[in-house]
Amino acid sequence: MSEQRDPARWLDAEGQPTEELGELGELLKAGADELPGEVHMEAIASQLGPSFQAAGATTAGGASTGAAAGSGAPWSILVVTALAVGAIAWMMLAPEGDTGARTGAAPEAESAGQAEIEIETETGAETGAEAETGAETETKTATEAETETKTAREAEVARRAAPPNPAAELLLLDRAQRALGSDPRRALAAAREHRRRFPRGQYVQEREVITIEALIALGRSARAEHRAQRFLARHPDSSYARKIRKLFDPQP
Amino acid sequence: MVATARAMVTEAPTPAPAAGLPSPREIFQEYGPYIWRVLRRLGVPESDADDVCQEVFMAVHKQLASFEGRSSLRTWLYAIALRRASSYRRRAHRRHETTTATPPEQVVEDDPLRELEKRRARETLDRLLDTLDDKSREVFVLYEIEQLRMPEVAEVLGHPLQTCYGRLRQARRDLKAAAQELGGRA
Repeated sequence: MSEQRDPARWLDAEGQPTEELGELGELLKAGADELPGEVHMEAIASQLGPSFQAAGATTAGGASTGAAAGSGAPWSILVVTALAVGAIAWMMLAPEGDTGARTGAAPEAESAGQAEIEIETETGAETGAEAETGAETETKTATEAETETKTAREAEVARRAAPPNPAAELLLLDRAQRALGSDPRRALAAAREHRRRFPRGQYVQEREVITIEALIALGRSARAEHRAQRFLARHPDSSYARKIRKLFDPQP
Repeated sequence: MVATARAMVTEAPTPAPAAGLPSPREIFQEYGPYIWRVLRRLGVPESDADDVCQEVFMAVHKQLASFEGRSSLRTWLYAIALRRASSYRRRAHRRHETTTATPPEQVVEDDPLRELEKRRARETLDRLLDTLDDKSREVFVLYEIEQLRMPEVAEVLGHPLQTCYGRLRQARRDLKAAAQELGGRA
């Protein structure tokens, strides 16, 4: 209802200027890109007191009962809830009738996420740059790629110092997943936010699947296909590979 | 610098969130980066953004137990952030402060040159946004940067929907004119 009345935005769901705004579009894009990372936010949280800090800081997976007293929601419960959300989201992602994939949902999703981290470390520069500029990286020379790989690896070291935050990742992806049917632009925006906040997160494959689906829903099939091919080349054994192939070839 | 009350927060008893509401930690994780960003685009310089962001979440901490759900949590948070940003601007104006203080340490992107370009672009954008009146700026930032729907923008601001549409049009016109003027001077 209200969506139809709202004027077209100046930035699309991927943060690209949608009109001939010239430099103003680029300025706006830079303004929208300014999101603090996890380390920065944890520094703010550390000044806000225990209600805002992770229980046990680095022991989220330890499931220490009652460790988050006072927060209103023990961290262990939050993680379990988030993982449940993730499992639900994953099952929603799996194509109808794909029972084989459904039965192994959660474990496969986790191991797939771990595999992604390893692969992205090997090709860090390409992945990091593509997150921002899509096809731009295809034209890079080997030297440029090598230089950027080095830079990206250094950044990776810094990023790995940040505590993992699977719950926040899944909340964001859950929002993206829920928006897919009704508002693919918003789904794409949420996936993009995930890419920015969690470039080496545990659920990068899930994010990519949502991105591809959102692009298809928006009629941007060439871009969707490009990303799908890239995904399949990187993750031929992913539990999502079959789903992605079906998106482009619905015939059995 | 903005006065903070960190000790107060640390020592304050934690009010239990109303049933069904996420904890302060969960809210911070989910919305914190966006609140920080909206503060920046509403004129809070990078050097003070962390402090004002803390003020926002201190207010959340205090008021969460009384949140009645008449608005969405998201619009409620943005409304708090807008009030804090407005308060900050008034304080800064009284102190005749400039917004060029040394920024805090930031996570730097993989490419330092690219990050520098982005930083310059943001400074220019904020100068352009500074030319807008406060109400138009708030509508523009919530709609174009934060990607809220216009009914949500109206809810955050407590203004009629049509007023918000009008302010968005005005903001767009003014920004284009200011950008052209800036380009002409360059």
